[in-house]
Amino acid sequence: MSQTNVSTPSVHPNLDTAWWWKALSRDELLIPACRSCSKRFFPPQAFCPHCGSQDWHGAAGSGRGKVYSWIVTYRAFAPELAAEVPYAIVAVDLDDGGRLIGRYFGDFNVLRDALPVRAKIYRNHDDVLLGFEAA
Amino acid sequence: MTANRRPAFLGRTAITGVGYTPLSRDSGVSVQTLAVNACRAALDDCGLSPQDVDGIVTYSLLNDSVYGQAVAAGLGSPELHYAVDLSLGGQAPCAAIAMAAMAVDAGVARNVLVFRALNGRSGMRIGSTAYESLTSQFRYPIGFSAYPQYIAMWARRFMIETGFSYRDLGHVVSVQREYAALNERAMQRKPLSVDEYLDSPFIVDPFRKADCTIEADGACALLVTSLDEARSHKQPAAVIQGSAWTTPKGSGLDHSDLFSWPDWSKNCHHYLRERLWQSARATPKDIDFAEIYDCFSIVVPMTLEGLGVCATGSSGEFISSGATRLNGSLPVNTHGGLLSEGYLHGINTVTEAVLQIQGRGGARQVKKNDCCLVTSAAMMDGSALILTKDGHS
Repeated sequence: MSQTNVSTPSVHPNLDTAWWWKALSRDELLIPACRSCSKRFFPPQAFCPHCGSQDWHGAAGSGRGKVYSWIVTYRAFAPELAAEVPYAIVAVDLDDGGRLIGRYFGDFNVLRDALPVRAKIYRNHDDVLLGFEAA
Repeated sequence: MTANRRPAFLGRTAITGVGYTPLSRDSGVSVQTLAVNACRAALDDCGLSPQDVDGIVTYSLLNDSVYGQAVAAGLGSPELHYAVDLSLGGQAPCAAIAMAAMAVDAGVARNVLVFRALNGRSGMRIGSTAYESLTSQFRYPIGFSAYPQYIAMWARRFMIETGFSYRDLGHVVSVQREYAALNERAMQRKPLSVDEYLDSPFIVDPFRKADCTIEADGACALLVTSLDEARSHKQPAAVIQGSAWTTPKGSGLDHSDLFSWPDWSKNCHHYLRERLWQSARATPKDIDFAEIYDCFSIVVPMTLEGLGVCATGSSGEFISSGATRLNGSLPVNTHGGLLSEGYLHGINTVTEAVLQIQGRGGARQVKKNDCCLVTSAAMMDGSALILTKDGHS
């Protein structure tokens, strides 16, 4: 797990998401996978948003995927972000299902549709967070 | 309800009065004062008194407004038979009008005010306010916390899918500034050429400052009643002919849960399309002008394509050809849009539609004003209306 100095508001897990954050802090990327409809979904929630089933489990995610969309933020929308702009955020469609959003680490000028990326779990103060880098 | 059945209130209800407070960066008065003043103005406009009001529908986010009962109190209205306080933003205005119209048509209320009031600039600024929701924990800690960022993500995907360009965005903004120059209410009336636009810096690539609405203090109100009643009012009726709301599958857990939405190049209007046009017994060819909710520039082409007004991938050419200008084939956002007039969460998109239908658009009055499309939504859920002149069907 790498240390990256990103200062942003802290994670506040709830009863439906705490397990996911706990796994991430163990360096494990889990993606909820429905046993009823076989689809994966994100964020973690009590019911599969595809079919409404509560019969799902946290499946291991490869963390590999392709860029679906991205932005580059030049204006700090919170004071603690002032030192970090400009920074990029990517939306990534994982190869094994599910769409995640995270910081992009690396030169954002290379970002393009379907750019292959891989997950990068990083630490920010007390939080363990999910980002991406070029694969 | 089957898709083909026309909701009963359509064609039988109307909007007559509209009221505004000034739009400003610092109103210096309470939100209740703004709300009551806009509602009084709407009543004066159509020749009614507070005694005539028996229903109020309003919407707000994060307690940024007052309940309808506070407006009834401020107006000195005798009794409300219908009061709805929605916890919604820009998805709401067209739906709020529909709720008022349904109540009228069902005989629950006779004259219903619909308002939105907020000190959105001097008070809480929604564009960058961090608030806890079911999905905020997956956005805020990574520095993804503001509406310009969320919609920019959709804008990028729309641009990838359709070929819509940065220059096309510039045309959206530039055309709306032309209208704003003709609108004394608009907060931003300075012309902006496409080249000037392209020379300005990004806030959140692909957005520049001019792609974002202007947060405002202010209020707007409209009076909804039956078409029969409307014919005795001081202003002509804008007849409610079509209406639809949608919360499509994939809308997720809260207003900013974009994770679950399958296709970011399409907003809710893609899903609203069939029901909206069927409800009005109309097609996109029937509209003379359109007032499209535009908290951000990209929502205009995305909505025009979503509702089939433009074919997929053609809105860039349509807008840059000048078609949406005052003398074009389909004037769009004739008040300068929320981009120029100011952000009253889309209620002022509806009031502009009514003023144009009534022929009260002043220097920016569209030539043909029989039938209008109005929308309320940028992302997952939302609503839209078709309004016509009385006697036009």
